[in-house]
Amino acid sequence: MLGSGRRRPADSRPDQWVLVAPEPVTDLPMKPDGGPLFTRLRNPSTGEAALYLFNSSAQQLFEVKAFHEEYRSWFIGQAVQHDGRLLFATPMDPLFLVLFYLIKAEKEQGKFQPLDQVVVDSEFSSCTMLLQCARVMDSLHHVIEEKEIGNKKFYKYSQEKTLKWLKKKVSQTVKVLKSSNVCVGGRVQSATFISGKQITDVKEDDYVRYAHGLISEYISEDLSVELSKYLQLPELTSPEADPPLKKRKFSDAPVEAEEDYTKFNSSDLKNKKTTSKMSAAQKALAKVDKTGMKTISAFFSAKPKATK
Amino acid sequence: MHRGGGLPPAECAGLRTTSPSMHQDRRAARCEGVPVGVIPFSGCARDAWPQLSSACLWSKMSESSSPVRLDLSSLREAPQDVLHMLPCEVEHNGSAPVDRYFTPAIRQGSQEKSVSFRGRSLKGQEVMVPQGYVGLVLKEDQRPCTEEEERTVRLKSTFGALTVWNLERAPSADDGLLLALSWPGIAEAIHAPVLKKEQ
Repeated sequence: MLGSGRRRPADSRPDQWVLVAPEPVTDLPMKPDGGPLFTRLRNPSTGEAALYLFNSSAQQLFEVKAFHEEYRSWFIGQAVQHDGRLLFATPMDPLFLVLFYLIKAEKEQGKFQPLDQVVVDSEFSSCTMLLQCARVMDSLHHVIEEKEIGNKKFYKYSQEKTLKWLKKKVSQTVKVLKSSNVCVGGRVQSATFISGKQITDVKEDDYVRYAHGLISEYISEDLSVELSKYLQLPELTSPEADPPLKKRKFSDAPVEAEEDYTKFNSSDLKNKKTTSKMSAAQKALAKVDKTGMKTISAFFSAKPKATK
Repeated sequence: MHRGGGLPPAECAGLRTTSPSMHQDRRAARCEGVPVGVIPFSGCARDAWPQLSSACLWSKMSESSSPVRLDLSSLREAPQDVLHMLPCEVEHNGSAPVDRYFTPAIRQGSQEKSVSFRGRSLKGQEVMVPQGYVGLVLKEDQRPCTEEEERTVRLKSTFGALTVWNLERAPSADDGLLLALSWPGIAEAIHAPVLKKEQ
């Protein structure tokens, strides 16, 4: 019943959108017919179409994402809007998008080329706008080898340099994650149950892994794997802590499983029980010097897994 | 009995609130079952922030759609709007006497706002647009006949805050929208230029 009820008449395409955007998006254009431009570009991770926004001067790029929950509508002033989405425009490093084409050219031709021969896409003609971004030209050296012949410049993708650049991206992301309340231990969704402040045993690795997961949304799967090696991220062994990589498996219905909060809730409760509900005797035992002792479970586990 | 923000019958048609149980089970950012016209595109992209999914302004992302220009000429005179994100689908686009029926019924408690809407108890929280950001309502007055023509949306109004409403329970920090609002800060870190100095 619900399924059929949710169908919308074909002529009611949304003609109104609610957007949260950085203030510079509203900088007035130099020309009266100018203005920020929403356009499709290739998502550098999937290679598929995604929505981006250039500001009026086409010097800044923003990624547009939607907060989209079921059963949401808006009251806007004295009007109702069926489409309850809230769009977010957030800054996007245009180099990620250029990198997609550089890697593609490296795979296909593998030679030094002028940039305007690399960043071409018949399906996404707006991609040439990226080359007009001053920021792209300023930061290009992070990901390429360069040759100058005559006064023309030729470029070639460099994985070595790119990994170095991505590592810096990871560390600047880690810095912000640490100062924010985001819970990076275990999985993304556990942030919904444990406030970041309560976690005391979050390791540096957890932050790095989380940041790696975030940045992997902007690079190819192959490069993401390379980056993980480059960062020397240890493989996760404990079954509770699924690596963030796993959640990113691309499929039509990944979200449902990710958002199954009940799972995290129950595992969380279990953990809490073991730490908070200890009898006096247990507490006393906990203080005993355990050096050289094995846990009982160690005798039963098949693999000599690390025990706490 | 107080019947809350009852809208006149004509505008109630098609309004459907969902059962509380469905709400507790509500999962953010889902891509399936999206009404025709707002399909993100075939298959949803991997998402950096689980509360956010790919967005589109076209009926389908896969078609070769022309860019959409944002006309800012009305920026100066654009009015500020009050926004309420409702926990239900209202199958209607158009005017609604919000200030006559909904707004006066809102009660400000010590922790949260509450209102009765079509016999349901809603709990709400006002949230600010992140610092350095602006809220914009964009409107497309006329859609060109062909896909090749550039489309234009104009700035209809702006907002600095919005009220998010849930059915029965108040929005908390683990609510989808509140988590989504922390995305800009993280995105800025990921996408900030890398400094030249060696690590």
